[in-house]
Amino acid sequence: MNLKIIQTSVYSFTIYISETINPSNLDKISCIHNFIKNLDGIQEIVCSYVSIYVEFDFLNYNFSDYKNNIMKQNFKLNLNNKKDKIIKKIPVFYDFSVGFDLKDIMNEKNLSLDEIIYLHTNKTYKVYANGFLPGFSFLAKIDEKLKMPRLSNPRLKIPKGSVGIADIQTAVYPKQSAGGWRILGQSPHEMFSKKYDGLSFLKVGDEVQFYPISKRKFHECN
Amino acid sequence: MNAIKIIKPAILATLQDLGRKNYKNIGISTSGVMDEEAYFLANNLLSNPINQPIIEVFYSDFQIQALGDINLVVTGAKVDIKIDDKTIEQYKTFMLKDKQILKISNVKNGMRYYIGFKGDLLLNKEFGSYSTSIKEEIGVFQKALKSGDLLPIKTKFLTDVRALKKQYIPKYEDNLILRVTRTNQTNLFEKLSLEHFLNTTYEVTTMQNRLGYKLKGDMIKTKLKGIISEGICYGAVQIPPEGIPMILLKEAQSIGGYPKIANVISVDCNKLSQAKVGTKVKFVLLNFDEATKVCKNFYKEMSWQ
Repeated sequence: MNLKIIQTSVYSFTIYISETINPSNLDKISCIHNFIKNLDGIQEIVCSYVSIYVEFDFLNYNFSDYKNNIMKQNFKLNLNNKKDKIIKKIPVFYDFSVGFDLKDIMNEKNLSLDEIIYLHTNKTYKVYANGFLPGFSFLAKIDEKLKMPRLSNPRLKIPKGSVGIADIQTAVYPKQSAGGWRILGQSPHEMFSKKYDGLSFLKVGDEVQFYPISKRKFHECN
Repeated sequence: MNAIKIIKPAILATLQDLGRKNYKNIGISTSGVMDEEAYFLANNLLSNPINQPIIEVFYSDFQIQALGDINLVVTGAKVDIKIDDKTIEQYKTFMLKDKQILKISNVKNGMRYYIGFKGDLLLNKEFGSYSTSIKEEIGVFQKALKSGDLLPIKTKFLTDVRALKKQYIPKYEDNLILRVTRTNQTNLFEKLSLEHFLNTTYEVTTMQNRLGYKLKGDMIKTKLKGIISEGICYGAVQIPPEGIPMILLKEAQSIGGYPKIANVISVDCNKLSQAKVGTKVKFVLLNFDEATKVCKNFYKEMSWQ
């Protein structure tokens, strides 16, 4: 693996796995994550699309020891260990009443509502990162035909459960928040709860698929 | 059981400790006290254990009542403190007796003051910490302390009055020098952009909260646009497209997509969190050895156990 390790503060460093987003990063990140989390003095690890951010106890440990240790490892991806992947399914009510940006996307992309729903649900996504808000998972990549930039003027309030897209990513807002993603619909599914092991419904590396639900089903779940 | 009762709420008074460790991976911010120096000094005077919770009050009047006697100390921003008509000194422990009301007003120097108490807080931590994270609604009270809120305390008492020597009481200057180290994208910024950043005098604005401070000053021109979102560090200096530095503090998001030109050392983030609107800010670059030494010295001085 060709790793680049940069010290990013007195007590943190970032390991770059790749310069571009692609699914093979996830296996590499998971492999390095497993190694790092067992090292002494590690306090935080945040995995993302192409990088792993690490905080350490700088009073007792130092960056160059970590760097040398990581660089001398010969990380081997365990490709035989392909578990049967479980696809986590998330219900979405795609409707103008909760999908505030559907009309703009239809106009901009020249798509019907059904086509938007088809493009968003007919694909499995991978969880590349968790962050921004507790239970907010960054999923990618969405169909090129749906790709839209973030709103230039973010909304101050996006309701809990809102399902949005931004560039190549899609995500569910786990709670009401400000945000600039374009909203397609709303999910009644809890994304963050003490009932989940690890609190977040989705974990980095998970596979996810959305499916459409009716108004009746949506209101039943709420 | 003794307790602190909130009588008059502040603009923003929250319960804080040193924050959460190991929850950034699911998007929960570290949170915790904005000014660690004032926090450590308060708990040091009270001989409290490390990571004892404290009340952090942002730039406004605040009143509490004691239910049962409680040992307290007030540190951080300079304020007027009264019990009945008696003036109370800062950085000096005192006893607030049963039913007495502590009135704090007139914030003069600094932005945040801290009310430390002696004894164990009889409330449950959330995700390993007492810290309130406003954005995430996490922590015992999930939001700012309001009138009537109770902090039940299993009291312990100091046997003497303890005060910090005058020369050690922090002062908050109108000209602030923030020491920075290199960080993720420092090398990607054009050489001129980095020089510009280090040569510009910025100003603290009203665009500030527990998430971060947005400064005012000359725009940094750079071809560097967004980056692929990655984990971010306390003290990160982000340069968003409009070119004005934004410094991320205790309640900042765990992941971000703006390039970062430098990282303010944690010791100086304390000073920034006390800087009032209009404070002039300049950045000075340290190498990692120098920065590590400064930070190690600070935490060694501040730890007493």
